[in-house]
Amino acid sequence: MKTFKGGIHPPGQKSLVKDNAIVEMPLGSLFFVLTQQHLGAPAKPLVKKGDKVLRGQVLTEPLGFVSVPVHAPTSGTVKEVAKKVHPVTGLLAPCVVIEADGNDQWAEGLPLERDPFAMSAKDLLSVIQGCGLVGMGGATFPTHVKLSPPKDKPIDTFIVNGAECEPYLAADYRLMLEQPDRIIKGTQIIMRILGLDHAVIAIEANKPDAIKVMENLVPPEITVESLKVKYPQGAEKQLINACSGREVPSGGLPMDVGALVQNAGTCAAVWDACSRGIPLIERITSVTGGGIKEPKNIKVRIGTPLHEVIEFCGGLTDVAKVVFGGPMMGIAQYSPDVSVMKGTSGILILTHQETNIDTFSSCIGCGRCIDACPMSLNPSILSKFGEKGMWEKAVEYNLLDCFECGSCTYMCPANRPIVHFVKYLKTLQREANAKRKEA
Amino acid sequence: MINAVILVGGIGFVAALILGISAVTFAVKMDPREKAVLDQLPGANCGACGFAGCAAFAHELTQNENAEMACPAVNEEALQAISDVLCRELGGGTPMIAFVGCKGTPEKSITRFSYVGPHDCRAAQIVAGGAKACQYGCLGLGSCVDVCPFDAIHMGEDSLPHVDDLKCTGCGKCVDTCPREIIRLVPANANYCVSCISRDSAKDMKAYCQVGCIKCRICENTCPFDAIVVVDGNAAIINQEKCRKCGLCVSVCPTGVIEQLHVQAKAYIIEEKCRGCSICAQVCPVDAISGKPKEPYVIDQGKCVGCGLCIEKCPADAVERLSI
Amino acid sequence: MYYVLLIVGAALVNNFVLSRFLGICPFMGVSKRIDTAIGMSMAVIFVMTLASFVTWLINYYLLTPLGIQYLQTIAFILVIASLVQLVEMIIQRVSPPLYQALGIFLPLITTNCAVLGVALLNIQLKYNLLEACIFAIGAALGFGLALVVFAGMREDFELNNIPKAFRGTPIALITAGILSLAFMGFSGLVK
Repeated sequence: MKTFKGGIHPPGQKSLVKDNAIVEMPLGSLFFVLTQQHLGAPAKPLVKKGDKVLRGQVLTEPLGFVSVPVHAPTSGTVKEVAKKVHPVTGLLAPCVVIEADGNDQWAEGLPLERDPFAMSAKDLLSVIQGCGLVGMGGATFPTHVKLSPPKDKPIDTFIVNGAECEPYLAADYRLMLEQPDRIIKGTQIIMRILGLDHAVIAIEANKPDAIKVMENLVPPEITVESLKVKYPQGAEKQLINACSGREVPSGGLPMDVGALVQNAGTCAAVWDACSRGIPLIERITSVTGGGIKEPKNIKVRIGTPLHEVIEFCGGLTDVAKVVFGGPMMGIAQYSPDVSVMKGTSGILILTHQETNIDTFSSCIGCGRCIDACPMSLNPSILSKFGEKGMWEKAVEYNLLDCFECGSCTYMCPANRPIVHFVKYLKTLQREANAKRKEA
Repeated sequence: MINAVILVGGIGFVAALILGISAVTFAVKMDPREKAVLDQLPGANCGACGFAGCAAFAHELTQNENAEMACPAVNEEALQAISDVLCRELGGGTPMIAFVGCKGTPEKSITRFSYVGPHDCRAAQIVAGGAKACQYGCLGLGSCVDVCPFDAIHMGEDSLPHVDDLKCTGCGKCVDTCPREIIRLVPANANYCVSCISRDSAKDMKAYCQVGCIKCRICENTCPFDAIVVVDGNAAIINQEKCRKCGLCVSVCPTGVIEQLHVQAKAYIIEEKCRGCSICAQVCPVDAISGKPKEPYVIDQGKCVGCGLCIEKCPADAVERLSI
Repeated sequence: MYYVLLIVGAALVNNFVLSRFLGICPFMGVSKRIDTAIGMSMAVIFVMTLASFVTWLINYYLLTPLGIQYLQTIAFILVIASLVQLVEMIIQRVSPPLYQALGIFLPLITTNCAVLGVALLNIQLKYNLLEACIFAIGAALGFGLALVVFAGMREDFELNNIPKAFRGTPIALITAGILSLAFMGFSGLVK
């Protein structure tokens, strides 16, 4: 079975939630829509306190090409445009707070009916940006930018990411089981934009029923690839390597080897946006972990506060850690006021048993991290550089190729927070570069 | 016997000849003063002077006629010795020491979450902006302690760093290391400093810190010398050049955020010299001096804060400091 | 072939630093960084070879005919000292940073028992001039090898969290001992 070099086998923990069908979460009264839910340039709020907004109405204006707007998840009144805690940085960020009016009334003209296969690639891309689409696997890179590679980097391989390699998460899995047509049609639109006549939907072998569903439904131009179960199979570069055998060069991007990857959820959102003009205002999120009473896969509106989600899922039992995303690359939360974002693939409520907060010791030189690293780096020495703040040496050892998957940290017997050291070194490098640019 | 002498002497002579010729051929001009200067420098290679190490700075001082004394760690003696070697006067500049601008102990300030990770403030800063609720507060993990080349700063029981002002040379390494710029350099003879750099409003601060500067401006209004000001939403800051060390701001500050660095010796009036001109009583900021005209004045030791204004202003040199 | 074995023997099997335990002072002092270790090795190779050559000549053409072999030690030290002075002057002129980095250890090559050791061993083992020089080159290469390998190790374990009591020389000595054990693996390589 196809796979990549390195990687780890953490316990899947998906049984908690994978057999739960998607449940639509009832609308709450307050929605906190952060204006920056994407990688790239910020977006400027277009509304102010007191404005009435409708479901799907645009709330911000993107400032630049690598930027997308956000939209109102439901109809109501703008209570304030204030700073709220951002789940990714943990710092305060601009947020449009909407008080719902309970009508959930669509913005004028939405949803519309049109044939996306009659539209040009340019128009489709414009719609994709206008509907605020970003990578929903968690990275939140603006989709229209990814689908607009420069002319000198032609794409010949398009892979739909149905791997969902993170433990605990089952959102993409349920989407593939229950709404495979949205994914397939979205894939076809993207194929049209890229001018390709074939595509691959890659699914990890631990989802045999999803593979079967897909295999039965895909048109002949799309193949379903079953991949060996290993973390981080769902990471872009590893997915490309497993499916096509190509290796993205150090410091490079998938387009350098003619490949492009999109999350399955993103493909479904592309279909919604192109065929019915629906902006990205809701997503499927797995609320799971030992600490939540009723684990669920919820269809939830962007901006729903965390405490409402927890309440809907029965409340908490024992909580040590709350994570947005998966347990490997997700971000721990400290504020109960954070809200669901476009990239929130999962909300994990982890118990003390499921969390590791032991102190760490010196590197014992066992080399497990080196075996585990999917990018063939040396996490051991990077962690030592991290302890001493030696970012220049770390860059020499390919620090910037690390995408912080956490395989090394998971394997380390000395419990070293290697990813934290890598993030720290990258911060030092950014600061030094900024200082140098100023000078 | 004689052979031995001739042989050894012969080898020595030949060797000396070769070496003598080489000494001339391979001669390297070395300024002997450089070594003398290097000996006077502390040798910690802390880099505060802006050069790679003490050797590099010694080289600069010796070769460059106009080089200024940039080493914060030389004492008076060493400075004099270097000036003698180089035959030019090297100014010392005001000695500075480090001051930690935060009083937020775990009891007096709120921690948002329990942080797990490297024991380094700069690494902790990247996790949601640090565990402390106040974005301007000390994280207490001791990066400043680790970086000090003079062992002059230590983490206290209260999770705050404390500067040993006898050892601190003002090199500034802790200042550069602190990710929140909480530590700053103040003149070594400063007596009062505001121990907070928060730019948050009093309303925000109330939620997470009991000992921060709430910008109430009571200190600004009380100070008789305009030495302490609250500007643009920043925490109060004391202009050390204007500060007369009377301590009035400390007594009126509601949160106790102004710290006293040294205990000052109080003043007393020498009866025999006092002409009773009353100038001291007029300048005293705490009204500690009283007396009748043309009679020796008296300083109330209970009120005196040791600011020294009376000593400065007395035309008869009749006021002196008590030894501590 | 014999000469190759001579070099292998001097460099690996009976490594001057790790088997004979000569020259520990510069070994400890200059092995903190690889580049200074390489610089020091070059200096020692030069001094060892030249010293062996000159001292061999002095022993067999001056001391022995005159029957004053008892002056071996003094004469050899004289030669070595002068050579080291010469090397010092050359390095100071050619590469001042290296001169700064080597510091006090450069003149210490004089009293380095490894250099005197080679000179005396040449006599003891009754080598002819060619053998003496090749033996010296082998010894110097072995010294350099030990120094550079050790410097590489030290640069690496500088990154580790060594207990305060062991930092610096103590851990270096322990590691040197372990490295010596490793080099014992070469014994028996050359009969």
